[in-house]
Amino acid sequence: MKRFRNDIILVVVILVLSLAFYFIYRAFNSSNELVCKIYQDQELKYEISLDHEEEITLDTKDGKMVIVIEKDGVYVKESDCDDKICVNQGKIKRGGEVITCLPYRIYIKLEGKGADVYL
Amino acid sequence: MNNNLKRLMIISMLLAMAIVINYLESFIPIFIPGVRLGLANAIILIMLYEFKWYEALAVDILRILLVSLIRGTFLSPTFYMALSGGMISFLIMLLFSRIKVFSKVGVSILGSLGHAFGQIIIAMALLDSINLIYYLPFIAVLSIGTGVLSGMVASIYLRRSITNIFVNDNEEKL
Repeated sequence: MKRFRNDIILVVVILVLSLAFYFIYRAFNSSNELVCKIYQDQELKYEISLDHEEEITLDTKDGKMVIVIEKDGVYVKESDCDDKICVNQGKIKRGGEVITCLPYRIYIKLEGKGADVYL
Repeated sequence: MNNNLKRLMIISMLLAMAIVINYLESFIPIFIPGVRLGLANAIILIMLYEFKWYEALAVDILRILLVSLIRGTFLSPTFYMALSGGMISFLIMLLFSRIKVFSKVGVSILGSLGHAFGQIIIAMALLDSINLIYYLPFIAVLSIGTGVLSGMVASIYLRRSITNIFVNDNEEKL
């Protein structure tokens, strides 16, 4: 009977811990709004949160670059640079990801607090 | 037939049952590809209570190896996940079947939890993503269910002492 009681305690503890874990994780994630930071010549030019859609055109002395910001990510639509690495990289979606364009010295970074769900 | 042979026969039958259960459950998808419920824990639990610990370990390892060969997942991520889950759940069940704090159902629940943890740890290492930890609470709750189920199966088997029907000697403690 005593062991049966211990079993019940075990189940309750696991359930409580799971629930707590789930809600803590969710709390961290809801504050996890991604921010797109665009640097040019190592200077922070733009800081845009990903809650709306926007198109930014950056002018450099060699040409221009069009960056599209959407709710689910950021990508470079057009660039006059030669290698087009930034365009070919596609959309970045998670915090910590970056797009770099060396010829124009542009650096696009996604930042967010907490963890992101890997799916 | 001498008792050693009978004993080997029972162990082989339990291994066969573990393989069938393991094989069938490998078709049930759980959140992350490759994660299994761990229903074969029932067999390992029975073995921990009625056989020697190294016999149970042998059945556990052979089960994982043979199922991976049958399914064609040998040395694939699924195999490592199964191995990790199997070993961690074995160690936990071995420990708690000796420390008599929980009943067989409780030991089984802990084993299921260990199984889930072991698999998730390997999946996180392989995918190089800590974010799989998000699934942990869901899998933990799920493993209570599988733990209770396999614990009850093991309890019923042990209460009826089915092994003793076949191997009836009192000198050699099973």
